[in-house]
Amino acid sequence: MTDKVTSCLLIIIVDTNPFWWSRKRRVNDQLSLTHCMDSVVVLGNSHLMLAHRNKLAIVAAHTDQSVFLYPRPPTEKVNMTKLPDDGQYNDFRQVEGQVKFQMSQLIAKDKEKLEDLFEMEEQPPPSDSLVAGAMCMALCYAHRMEKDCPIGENLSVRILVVKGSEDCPSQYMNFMNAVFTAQKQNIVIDACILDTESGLLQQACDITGGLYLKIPQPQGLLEYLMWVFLPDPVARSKMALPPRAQVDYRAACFCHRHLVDIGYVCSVCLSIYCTFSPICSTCQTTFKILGPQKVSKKKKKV
Amino acid sequence: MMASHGLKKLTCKDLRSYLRTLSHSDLDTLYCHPATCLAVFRDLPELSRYYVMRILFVEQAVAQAVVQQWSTAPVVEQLEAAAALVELRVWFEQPLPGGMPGWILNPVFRANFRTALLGGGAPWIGHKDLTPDKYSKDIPFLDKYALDRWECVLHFMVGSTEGTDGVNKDITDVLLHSGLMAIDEGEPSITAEGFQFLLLDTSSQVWFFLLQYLETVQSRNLSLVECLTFLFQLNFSTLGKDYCTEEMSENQLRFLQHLREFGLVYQRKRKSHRYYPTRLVVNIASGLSKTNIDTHRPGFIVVETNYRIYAYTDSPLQVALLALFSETLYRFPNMLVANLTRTSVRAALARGITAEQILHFLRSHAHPEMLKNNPVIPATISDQIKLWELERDRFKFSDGVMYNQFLSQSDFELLRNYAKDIGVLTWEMAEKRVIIVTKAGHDEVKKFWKRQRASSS
Amino acid sequence: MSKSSEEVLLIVKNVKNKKTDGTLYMMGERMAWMLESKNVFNISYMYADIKAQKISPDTKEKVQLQIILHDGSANTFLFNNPKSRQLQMQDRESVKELLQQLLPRFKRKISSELEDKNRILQQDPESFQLYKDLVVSGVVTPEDFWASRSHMLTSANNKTQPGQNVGVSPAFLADIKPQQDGANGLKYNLTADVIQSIFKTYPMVKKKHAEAVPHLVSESEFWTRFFQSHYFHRDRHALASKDIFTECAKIDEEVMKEEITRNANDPFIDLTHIKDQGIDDEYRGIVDDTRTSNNIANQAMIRRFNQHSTMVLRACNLTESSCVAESSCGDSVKESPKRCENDRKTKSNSLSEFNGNVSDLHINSTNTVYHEESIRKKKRIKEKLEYEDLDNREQPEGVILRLTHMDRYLRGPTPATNTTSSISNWASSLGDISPEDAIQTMSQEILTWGSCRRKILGGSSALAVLGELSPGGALMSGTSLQQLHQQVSPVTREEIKQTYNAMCELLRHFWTCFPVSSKTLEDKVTKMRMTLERFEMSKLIPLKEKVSQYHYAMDLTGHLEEMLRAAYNKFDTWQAKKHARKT
Repeated sequence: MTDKVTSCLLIIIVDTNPFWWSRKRRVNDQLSLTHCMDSVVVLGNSHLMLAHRNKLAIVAAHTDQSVFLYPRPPTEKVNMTKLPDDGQYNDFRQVEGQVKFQMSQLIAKDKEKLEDLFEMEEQPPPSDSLVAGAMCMALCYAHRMEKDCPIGENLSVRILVVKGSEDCPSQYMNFMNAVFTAQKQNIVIDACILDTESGLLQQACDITGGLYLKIPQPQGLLEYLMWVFLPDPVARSKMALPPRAQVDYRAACFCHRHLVDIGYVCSVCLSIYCTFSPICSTCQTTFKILGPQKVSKKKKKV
Repeated sequence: MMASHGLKKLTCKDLRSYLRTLSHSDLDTLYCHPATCLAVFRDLPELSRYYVMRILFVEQAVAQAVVQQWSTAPVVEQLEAAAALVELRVWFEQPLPGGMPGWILNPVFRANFRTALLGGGAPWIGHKDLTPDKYSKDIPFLDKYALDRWECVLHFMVGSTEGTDGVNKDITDVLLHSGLMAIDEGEPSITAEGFQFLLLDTSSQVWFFLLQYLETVQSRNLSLVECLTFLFQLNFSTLGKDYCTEEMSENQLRFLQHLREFGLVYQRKRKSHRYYPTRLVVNIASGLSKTNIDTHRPGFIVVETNYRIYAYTDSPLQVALLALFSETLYRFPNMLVANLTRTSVRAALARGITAEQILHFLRSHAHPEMLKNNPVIPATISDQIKLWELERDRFKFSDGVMYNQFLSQSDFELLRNYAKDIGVLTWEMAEKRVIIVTKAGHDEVKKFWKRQRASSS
Repeated sequence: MSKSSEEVLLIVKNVKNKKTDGTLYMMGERMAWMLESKNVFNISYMYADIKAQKISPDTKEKVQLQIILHDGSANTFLFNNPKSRQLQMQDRESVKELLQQLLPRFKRKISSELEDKNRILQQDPESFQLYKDLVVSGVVTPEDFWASRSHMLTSANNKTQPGQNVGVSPAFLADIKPQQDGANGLKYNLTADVIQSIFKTYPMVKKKHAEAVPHLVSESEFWTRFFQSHYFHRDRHALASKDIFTECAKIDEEVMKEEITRNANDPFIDLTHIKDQGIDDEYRGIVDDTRTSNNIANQAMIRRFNQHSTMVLRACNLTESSCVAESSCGDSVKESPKRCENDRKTKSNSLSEFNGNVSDLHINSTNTVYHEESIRKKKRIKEKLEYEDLDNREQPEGVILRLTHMDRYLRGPTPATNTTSSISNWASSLGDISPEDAIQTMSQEILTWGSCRRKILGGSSALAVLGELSPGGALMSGTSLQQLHQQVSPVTREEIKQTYNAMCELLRHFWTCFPVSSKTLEDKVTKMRMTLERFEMSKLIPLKEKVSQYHYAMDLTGHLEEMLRAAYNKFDTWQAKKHARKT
């Protein structure tokens, strides 16, 4: 008999990249940002519904910042007087309201920035979503919650990334650091991909033992979420879930960005090259040893 | 010979087994309220919960064969999960167009469950925005109030005079009904079950008490369904928030007054239009707490491996409870030192208290410092207490029927082998040709013997 | 049964076996016995099968020789020369001597090649199957088959003759139980094993044996002397002055000294401090052990025990190095044989002599020895004094990372495909939407948010997803699907495996021919090519047809064919090249 009770914290990271979402909307896809947010909120509420100890956090990965959509920052005044005017459970209504409020704030801020931008005549903000940053925030939050956890209680944490926009290579380092931190903290990272496959998240899920799923029908998003991502990792062993996909761990060389099976790695900065070069072009380290002798002209095969 | 056999162990149903006892129509009525659906859902086995979530949005029956394939858990667990859903009428069987058996969610349940999750429908009873309360109460106040009220009940049970003036007839009725107390020389006095009850942690106590109360509800001319609905709604209310009593039915208002007596809700005045649920009632539907920590009061007990107990308490009730199974050594204004001895624990066991209950009491009231240990109670102590219990448990009684005076060895062997084959043989002695079979197997063996004799003669 | 060409080493007539007269033949590889008046061997034993021989004691009337075989059975030959007992003895001696010489030679050959091969085939069902498939059916010659398996043979040999030598029992001398000879003598039965042990332990004796035995003294005489010798009865003072073992003793002493200096050179061991006493002595208040007896005999005994143990221990790691040690010993013997012999009057004398001798040696090499000693000592002291973990290790300075391509470093090994660099691909990633449009759309959407909550998931799309995610659905492929090994019946599986094995074997033969550097290889490669074709016709194609009857989803024989094609291609290119070179 274990003397500890386990509560489960689910942190959902939603890609709220407005450029990507508006493009989606333009091509008249069935999936819209609001629909996605609704689905995510319902998933979060379902998670809360499973057990009264369960906890939830929702983080928005925006283009220039990552924001906690739920729970509200501790500094904000607690607003409890408003009760739902329909049959929804009050707690769920709180989550929903908070998320909506924060989302509108976020977009409003974007609008302001855009106006500033026009005045400054600068380049537009980057179009990628800061998933790595959001993950780091999630990890920090998880760490804090674990510390706050009352004695005699265990907290198991998992992160679900709902992502639409494409991978951003410039986040690679941060992303991988976050993934390995999660692995070390026994935090499972799941990924629900709305559009283009994400190599980074595939690796993240594989490393932390999470599930990676690219959904074929965006309008059924909520059902996918309920089906695949609602059960916590312990319960997953009891459920028949989509098989884990093979992950391509091949690295791309730094010089041409081609995938290579075997390459040359700089011993100082760990850059990868597809061909030998005496000077590492990333960190300028000079290698005195000679590369292997060139293989004499390959025999032609018929 | 064994005193403990005369005593029955305190049994307490969890929510599911309680709801099972209700009729189908009652259940359907209950499911009309979103709060009930939520409460029932939370109490379902894990697998069942996922089943429900998966088909919540599927508006038609799903083949049973398909559902079976969803889980890779052992078949027993799957069957249990499906059975729990059937028992509570969360889903029921409906054949698919092709004739295959399928499951479909109870439409009432589905609708109200979705309401709870997504919104829509009618608001909950009394969920109406109130003007700010000029006597508004904060959470610490509510906690203190609730505990005080509840302690009154407990004090009343052990017969201490402290603050028991608030205990009225309703509470006494429930206590008498549940067998926690019995009329002794005109005065109610605590029974063995009562002591076991006292050793439970607070939320389990409240839950048990409420179940007993609900049994007496009909005799008070209250509607069980209405009370339950309200109770479940309270279960999902927010601590520290005030709710309005308008729109509540007459029955529910009376029920509310009862709850107020137990300390489950706070209402400043009987006629006041607002009430505050207390910590005792919030999340009460999780039933008998599987947790080991009493969330209602800080732990105060330290148990050392040398069988010594230090209890930082001044509550005479807690002192009395500790004295049930330990020998008090010293008493200080805010602390007590006691020893667990074989005699003291055996005395408790003789009263029908089980080792598990003692350990649960110690564990659920463990001091925060103690909680850092794993296991919380030192293994030597928990093992020893269990051993002391086993010590009293050397005999096992089972009813049986003796067959003797067999005329021949072959007769004896024939009957013995038969009894052994059908698994009812308890004991045999070949030398004296005696066998004992269980009571259940007696008829079978007798019939067999008669047949045998008839055929041989 | 017998090969006439076999070399006959010895023929002894009048040898009885089971009460019938016959002739004993000692041949190159076996001994055989033929009944009188027949010309077929009735009994024939390979030397390799013979474990030991025994002879009857001289006192017995019958002159017999018993052969004990490895399987435990035995046979006794009675030497029955009608002329005289003397001749009978002589006959037996000659047989015995011959056997003595021959048996050890064949002992090594117990694990003869054939047996090895047999064993491999028995132990390794796969090889056995291959052997059946390829050799028995004549696809590959046995020589080829075994040639490619030579590593197995050698490894097997290595296994049977492991690097670990069998040591010598420390009690081997004590175990030779002397038998009362009736009269005043003792009789020792020396087996070959014991002799071997003695030689191993005392290389000097072996040397002496080699020197003396054939010409100076007879075998038994040698051993009698050995046991009688002072060398053996070390603590006896009486000695025959011209004992051949005297110098052995001296050399042994020397070796002992060497051993002492070699082993007791730890500067931290103070032998003088070590007392031979137990804890009880302390209690009785005896501080000094006065028992340091001057009984030289006892001391010598202890020395001798110690030396014996040393020798025994050394014998087990004495393999190749033994020869070296021997020769060096021999050299030192030659240096001072005379003096030793002359001076050897009493034991104590000889001891002092040796001490002197040794110290002489030391002085000669004082410089070097001293030097070495000090270095060793220093090293030991350093070892004792310095602790690695207490050192304040200096962190080697790492290379400073100077990143010139920061972006490159940060983006890491992500492939270039479908990555959108932040600014350059701005337009393409957004299509025709400008940022302000995008934000506008989004804020519009947010403003109108909140009404569609109840329509979040329609029943039909939920059902569609349910179908996808239920086992057998589009997203669940691979989970419920049977594994290949469940699909294919065990019989077919086994058959495919066998074919694979056989073909890999053939291909190995084929590929080992490259590069084709000699005529034989050329022949072989051509042969192998033909063999492969034959194999394809006889095994692969039938298998393929058989498998195709079951309609498996997978092409089970595809890889086999691929491998064959590769080999054919290789052969064709090689042949083409060869022709080109010729023309």
